[in-house]
Order: sequence, then structure tokens, then C-alpha cells
Amino acid sequence: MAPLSWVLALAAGLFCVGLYAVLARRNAVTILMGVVLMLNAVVVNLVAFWRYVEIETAGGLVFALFVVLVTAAQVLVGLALAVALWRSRGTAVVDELESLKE
Amino acid sequence: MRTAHASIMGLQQILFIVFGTIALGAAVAAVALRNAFHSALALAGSCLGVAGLLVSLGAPIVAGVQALVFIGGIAASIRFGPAPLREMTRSVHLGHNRSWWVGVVVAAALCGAIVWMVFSTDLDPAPDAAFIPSGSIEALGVALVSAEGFVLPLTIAVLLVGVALAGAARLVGRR
Repeated sequence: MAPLSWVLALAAGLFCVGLYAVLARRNAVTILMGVVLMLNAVVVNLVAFWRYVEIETAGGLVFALFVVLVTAAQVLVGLALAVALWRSRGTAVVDELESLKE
Repeated sequence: MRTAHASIMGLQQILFIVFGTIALGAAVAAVALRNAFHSALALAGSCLGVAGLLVSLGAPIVAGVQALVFIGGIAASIRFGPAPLREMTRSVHLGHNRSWWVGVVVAAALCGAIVWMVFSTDLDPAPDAAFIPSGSIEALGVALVSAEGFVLPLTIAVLLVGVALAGAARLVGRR
């Protein structure tokens, strides 16, 4: 089995790719995808620590399942908001959504 | 015996490298592609790689849920979902914002710091490759539905998903 450090390094890479999408992309849907990538990295970390450190209990798996469920809920609402914005404003560019500044 | 043990370890490490490459490569593609529809396809590939990683770590249940939710749910909703969502993902071709280099610097610095910390820490050695976590599925089921376990958090999480689903349907259905 691969060492724990390899899994943690891979999760760090996934998280940072998602972080770049959140910071640098303009499309609301692609930003949501970045958040999904970051939460995927969290799931990998939780399962890795369960497998290598605390395999006797199921706590790590339960937390990983909860993270997947919460991610699903967050993406559902985010996609629905993006669709509502597209309908009302005709754009999915987050830079153009400045109504809270007014 | 030792040769068989070494071959198991080699196979598991090869699987880890293959699935990790798929997950990371598809994630980079999802972030780099300009078309949101193509990004969604790449994200589905990345989630597939992560699911393979979870299976290789001994968590097939989490991998199955992950595949069902992300590949079956999100990618399918972008491909077969409501017409405005399909129109938006197909027609929008957007690159990166003007301060994209800040994102590169922050992400690279954070990744470097985490990797440095991970490899400079004396972590426990890898568990025995021949040890398969038997009963983990049964233990997970008991933990999810027992009163001493996680039945209340599970109920709250399911309620949260249900409310989010209803809210999303209301938002998308409103004209």
C-alpha cells in the first residue's frame, strides 16, 4: 500500500487545484467545480487517516460520507443559483455580479 | 511468502499512482478548460479517479457514494439537466480573471507548504498490505443507525440534502 505521505501529498495537490479554480476562474459553474475538487481532497484525507491511523472504528468513513452529502447539497444550491442568475441577468460571470456593492 | 507480499505492495502502489494521476490530471483539465461543459466532463473523470483511490484505500462504500453523487448526479445534471443549465455550460467560454497569477501563487505556495510539512513529519509506516479491513462495511452500517453512533447527524444530513434539493428545484422552476 502507498505510504500515508503519498496520499496526503496527492490530496494537497487536488485541494490546491480546486483553490486555484475558486480564485482565478470567472465562470460560476467552474468555481463550483473548484469547490467540489477541494471537498474531494478532504474526503481523500479523511479516508486515508481512517485507513492508516484509526481503522478500528468507523468514524472516518462516517465523516467522509457526511462530507460527500454536504458537498452534494452545496452543489445543488450553487447550480440552482447559477441558473437563476443566468435567467435574470443573462450572465454567469461572477465579476459582473456587483449589486451588493451598490 | 515475502515475494507475494512484495508483489501485492507493488500492485497497490501502481494502482495508487494510476488513480492519482487520473484524479489530478483530470482536475487540472477541469480547471484549465475554457468551456464549462468540457470542464464538467473532466470533473467527472477526476471524481472517477478519486473513487478508485478510495477503493484502493479500502473504502468501497464511500467510493460508491462518491461515484453516484458526483459522476451520476452532477455530471448528468449538467449533461441532461434543465435547459438553462445546459445552455449556460455549453455557451459560456470564459478564461481566467485578471488576477489569475495571484491564484497560481497562493495555490502553489499552499501546496508546497503542505507537501513540505507532510514529508518532513515522521508519519506512521504504511499498514500491512495484506490486512484488509474486514467488517468495515458492517461497522459503518452499525455506526450509522445505532443510537450510540451517528443516527442523529445522519438524519440532519439527510434533511439538509432534502431541503437543498427542494430549494434548488424551487429556484430552477421559478420563472
